[in-house]
Amino acid sequence: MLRIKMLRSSLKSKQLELLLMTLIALCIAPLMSKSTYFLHVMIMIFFFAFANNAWNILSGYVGLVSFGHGAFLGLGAYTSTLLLLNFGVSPWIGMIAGVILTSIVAAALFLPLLKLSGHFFALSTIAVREIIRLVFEYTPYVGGAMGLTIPIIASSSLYYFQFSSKIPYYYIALTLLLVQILILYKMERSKVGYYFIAIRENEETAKALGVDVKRYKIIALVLSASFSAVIGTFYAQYFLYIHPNSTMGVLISVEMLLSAVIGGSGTLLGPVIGAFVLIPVETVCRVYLGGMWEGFHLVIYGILLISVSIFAPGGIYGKASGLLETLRSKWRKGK
Amino acid sequence: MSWGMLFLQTITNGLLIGAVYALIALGLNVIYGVMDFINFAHGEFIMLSMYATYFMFVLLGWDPLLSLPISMLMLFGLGAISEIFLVKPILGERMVIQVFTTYGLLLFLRNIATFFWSSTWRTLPTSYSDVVLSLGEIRISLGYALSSLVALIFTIGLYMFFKKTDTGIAIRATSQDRETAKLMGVDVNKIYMLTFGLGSACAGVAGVLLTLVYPIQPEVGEIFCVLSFVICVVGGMGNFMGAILGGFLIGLTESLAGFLVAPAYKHIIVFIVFIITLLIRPKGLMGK
Amino acid sequence: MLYVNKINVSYGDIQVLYNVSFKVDEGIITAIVGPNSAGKTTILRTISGLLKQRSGEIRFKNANIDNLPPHKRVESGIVLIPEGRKIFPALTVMENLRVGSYPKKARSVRRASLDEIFNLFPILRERENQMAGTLSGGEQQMLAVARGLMSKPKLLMLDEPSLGLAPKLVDSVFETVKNLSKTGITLLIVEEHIDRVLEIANYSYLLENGRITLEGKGEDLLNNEHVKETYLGI
Repeated sequence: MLRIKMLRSSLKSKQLELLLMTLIALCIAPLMSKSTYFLHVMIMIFFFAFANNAWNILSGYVGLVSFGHGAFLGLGAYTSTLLLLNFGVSPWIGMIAGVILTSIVAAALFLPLLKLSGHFFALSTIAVREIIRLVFEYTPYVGGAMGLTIPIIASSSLYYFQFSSKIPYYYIALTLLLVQILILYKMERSKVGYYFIAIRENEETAKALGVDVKRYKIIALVLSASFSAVIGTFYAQYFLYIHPNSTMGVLISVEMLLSAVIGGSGTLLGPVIGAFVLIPVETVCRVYLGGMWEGFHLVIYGILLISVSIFAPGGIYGKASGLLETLRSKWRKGK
Repeated sequence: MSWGMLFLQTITNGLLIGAVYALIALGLNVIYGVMDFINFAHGEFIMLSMYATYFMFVLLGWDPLLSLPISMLMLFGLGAISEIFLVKPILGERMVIQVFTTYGLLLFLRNIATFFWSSTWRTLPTSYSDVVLSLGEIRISLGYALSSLVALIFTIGLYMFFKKTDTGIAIRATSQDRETAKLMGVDVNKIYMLTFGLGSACAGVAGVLLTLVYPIQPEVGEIFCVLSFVICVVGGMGNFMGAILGGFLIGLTESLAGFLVAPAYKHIIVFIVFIITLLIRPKGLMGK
Repeated sequence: MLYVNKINVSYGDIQVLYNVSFKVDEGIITAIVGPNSAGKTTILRTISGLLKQRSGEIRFKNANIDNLPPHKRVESGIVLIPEGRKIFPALTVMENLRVGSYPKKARSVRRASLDEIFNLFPILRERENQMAGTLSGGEQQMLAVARGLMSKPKLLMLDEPSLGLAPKLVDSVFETVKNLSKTGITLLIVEEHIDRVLEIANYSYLLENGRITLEGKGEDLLNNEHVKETYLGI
């Protein structure tokens, strides 16, 4: 509740101006820089912001920590890719099919787990993710452990969601992210958002107040899984290569929550802020430390995760807004 | 070899690895039982112990079973230090924060290991790792036999510690009622540090034993950590006997699934068993 | 022996004790009586170190103990037998007693302590290997007292020892307290059974709404008009 209030007050005129300026800057950035590397980094930021926002719905707002979101992303990626490879279906339609299929699988496999709480839910998501991943790994029809490669069908085609330049991907990722943030903004201010937080803060109290806890957990689960599936299709079309480990494994599942947790889980802008911090960290590690230090950014992520947990349990967003608030009240007192 | 014999062989293999699984799960479960805390880096502790054993073998020529006390003490120390600096500040915090603190430790340890030791698989060839014992038609590799024997000895030792020593009884008292334990003169902070150290020492011993039967790699902890969660849940969270029962059960499930279905599917089946247990008996077989 | 000087104690924003001062003299029974939720339990929890006072001072045997953690206070001889007994249900009777003598000094004389305890409560010897959770209410109370005695306390504090016991057992509890006092242990007892405790206490304090409102010898309080009217219904 408090966070929503803070968000509302922080979105007043001045902040709105700042937001608009950021938006414009993001829109014209590709015109300013021709560097494909820069574009790639930005696309990755949008990608992870989107994926972490998806995770944030179930785990940040409702408080059911999931280590299994890779499974949803992977299902989305596989659905659209298989439809494209076997039937030539446009990935955009595949994306919708992916959302539907992922929602069904999420409901079927995770639904019984929703009654578990705390550690147990978190642990069970690892198991479900592994079941799904292993099934894909051992099913030759879907490419097995080798995965699937998407051939270049057209050099630049919106229908086939394939472009030779990074600029269209940039705008698609940005649009997806903005639309998602808008939806989440609406969600946060609606009764659904309040119920989510009520469940997180105290499930028993929420029940006593008449919130249909099970129903809203399902809504969060399906919403969370659907967004993950959407970004899964984007993943497939951007990298043109998917395999069970990269789309459903531990690493992607963890990367789908790191930005949210470090940025501030359960907040609208936390995951976005987190992605804007973490992806550049990774980039810097890759560029300046080179291949020998492969994976070194994960060491830094680990340190960041520990520090945030101990010193800033609300994430960067929580800490920053807390600091701003104290500064503001000091300023007022000074006056 | 007849089907019946193969079946017996499978059961034997399951029980042998089950003893090691039980020890791993015991470490996790003791910590959970006393502190209501789950260490997500438990598997990484195992991995570190495996590397310690490996390097003592390769560089100094020390046999894993001889260097075992060193690895065990190292892991005890690592656990105690982690407790002081990472766990103590967040005990009693929201569950999410507890999860992510040790998950951060996991990321840190796993990737620093990759950085230093690369992600190549290494094996530790002892003089006895290729020896195979025959019990009638059933064949047991000496590595498996030794590791499960030592695991059993440690499990019994730990049980005796909790049952017979003042400190062990104080740990059990703390797990039942922390505040009253304080009123009896028990230094609960010290008990927590000790418990975390002991749980990690279990991971340490298990890590040493695993080097006899399992290759070493920075990401090896993942599967052991997940398996030990599964074992604790199936057996009963926080329950000593539960971890042992669960360890053998999951060891058996794994090897039977490998035999009856296909080795590739053994973990799928273990996870399905886990989820079914969670749903029909959320407190585990021994849980109350 | 124990001096409590103007302590103020709060739970979060809610203040429970206001400038509470009292003393416990060596070798006698001191009682704090008062209605439910006056803050009696809070006083004992503060003395045992489970709670920290916001201000004020507690001295035990002429030393300030404000910065000692609970287990150090036990080592120095202050033991609280908590309200509701709080035995460890999944430990045996013997294991409960072993936890009671956890401090090093107490451990070294454990055998002798056990003999004394079993003389005092022969039934506990019979139940030695039974799970404490399976004892009857009266036996659990005995075990709670016995466990407290195992660390050789100089000051034994009892929080509502008669709580939830049948009237007959209440008698035996107060009998035990009297006997303990004869062995030279200093006792601080908190009770709602005001008449019963004032009969055995040498000196008593009345605690109302977090403040000490009256003090005196046991019989003085029993004869006080305010106490008579409000708490004894005479």
